[in-house]
Amino acid sequence: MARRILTTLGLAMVVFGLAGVFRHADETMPLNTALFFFGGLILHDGFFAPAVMVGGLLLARLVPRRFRPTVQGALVVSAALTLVAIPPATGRGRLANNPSILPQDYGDGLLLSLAVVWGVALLLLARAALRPEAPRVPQPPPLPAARPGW
Amino acid sequence: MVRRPRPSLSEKVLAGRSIGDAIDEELGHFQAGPFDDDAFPSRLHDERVASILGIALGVTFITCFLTGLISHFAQVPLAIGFLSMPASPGWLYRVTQGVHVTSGIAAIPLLLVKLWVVYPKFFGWPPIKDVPHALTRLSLAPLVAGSIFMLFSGLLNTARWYPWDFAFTQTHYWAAWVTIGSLLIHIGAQIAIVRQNVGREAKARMAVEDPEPPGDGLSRRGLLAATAAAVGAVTVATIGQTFRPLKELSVLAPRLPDVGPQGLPVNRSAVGARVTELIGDPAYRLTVTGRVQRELSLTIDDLRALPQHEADLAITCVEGWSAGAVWGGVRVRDLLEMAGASKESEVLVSSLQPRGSFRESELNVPHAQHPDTLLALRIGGEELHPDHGFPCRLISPNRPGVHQTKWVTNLEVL
Repeated sequence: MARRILTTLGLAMVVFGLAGVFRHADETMPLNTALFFFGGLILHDGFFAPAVMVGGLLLARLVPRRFRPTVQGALVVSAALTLVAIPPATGRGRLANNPSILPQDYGDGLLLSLAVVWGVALLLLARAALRPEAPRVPQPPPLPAARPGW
Repeated sequence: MVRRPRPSLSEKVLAGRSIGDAIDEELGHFQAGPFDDDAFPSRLHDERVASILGIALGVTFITCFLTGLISHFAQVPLAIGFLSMPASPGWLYRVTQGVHVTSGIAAIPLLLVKLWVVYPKFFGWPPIKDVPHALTRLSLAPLVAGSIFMLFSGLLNTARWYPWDFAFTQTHYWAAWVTIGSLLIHIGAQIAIVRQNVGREAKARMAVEDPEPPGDGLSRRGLLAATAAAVGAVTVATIGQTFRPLKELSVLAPRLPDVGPQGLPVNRSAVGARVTELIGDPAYRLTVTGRVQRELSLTIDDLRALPQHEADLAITCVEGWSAGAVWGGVRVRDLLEMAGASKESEVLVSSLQPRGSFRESELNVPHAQHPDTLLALRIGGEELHPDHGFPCRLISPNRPGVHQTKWVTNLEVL
């Protein structure tokens, strides 16, 4: 029941939104909107997510076990800060006649915030280094033989 | 999904394996490809994690949508009287718009971690099982694309960076309906899974039947903590643009509430609006016209000679910054009374600005009659800076900044 209500309401909203985009085509420019709408999806699913997966794989192989959780956590926070810093850091929004827009140096701001994140991470890493290593996870059965291609 | 914690490359090498063997083993894992059962071995690709993040994201998105609707209808008033923006409480729009931008920024790490957790489902095999399955998968395209689009376009707008051709406000508004509509469909489809995985009962059951598998990296709880830390970090790094006590920490805030002429940010400067010559013209008059008993035409000195009032009001920009100031000037309702206009009338306020979509704004009855609605001549006791609207500007409680018309020259009683 709940599902049916949500689906109906959701569909109505999607149709209303799409109709709005096309009724105001002179402002929304449907082709340009579609480019950015699906461009984000393709960039995320095709490049960003695989890159993060490969990064995670490398990290799991290169970083010693006891330091891994802290490094992973610090990378999650660093990535979020970096993404939020990029638009102001490009300075594309600045106007010569209005210095109150983007008044800070966002490259410096990002470095400062990353320094705080990794400062905290270093403390956690030092604590992990001083602790006796946790008992090893029992060794799982070996991987199946690799299949060529997919 | 089988989860295998495995020794790291460095551990293998230390254990006496050759680097070549170790690398072969890694590449063997790659060769299996993303459709393999074992392709995503992390224990964090998990329904409980996805459910908890999904709830957080759902609450954040719906908060962002509702506050966005308030902002939309504050800018494009509905023709339905009782739904038009009230003049009090004066802080309302400042809070809703602050929440809108803050929740949007907070949603960035939430969305990306959520998408990472469920990413293996993208490679589910077979790709299509039956018609309902196909429809559910298809409905994810507008949801994911829309979510990314909304956060991306909103974030860029706070930095006033427009790499696209479409009009931001309208497109952000219509795309929100598509995105939140798809979100409701998605919630409907996933609510059963969330119920199975979240809640005290589910937790107790899972502790016995489906405990967290052992592993090396972040635990589920660790991932949620890291996500919360990321949300906290991006919030603290930007919220100072509207919440002054945190401005020293907000190193990524696109605006600072005390940076600008007379200690207040500006959205459009006098040069940008091309009014620098018009505002210095000695022939400047403020006129009150329309449905009045007697039209008024006042010089700046006439305005200064009228009874003056002060109001402590914030400029709240739709882009997420806000800053308070003490404004001094003439009450709009006093001017309306002088002109003999009805107390039930709405007012069209026009600027000297030759063009621009916000050169005019409309005051509804509660705003026009509010004692804090001023044609401000001063800010903190000083004459207005040209960028703040010299000779006089509109300032009124609970109103988007784009409707606080600057360089006012005419009040037309409707």
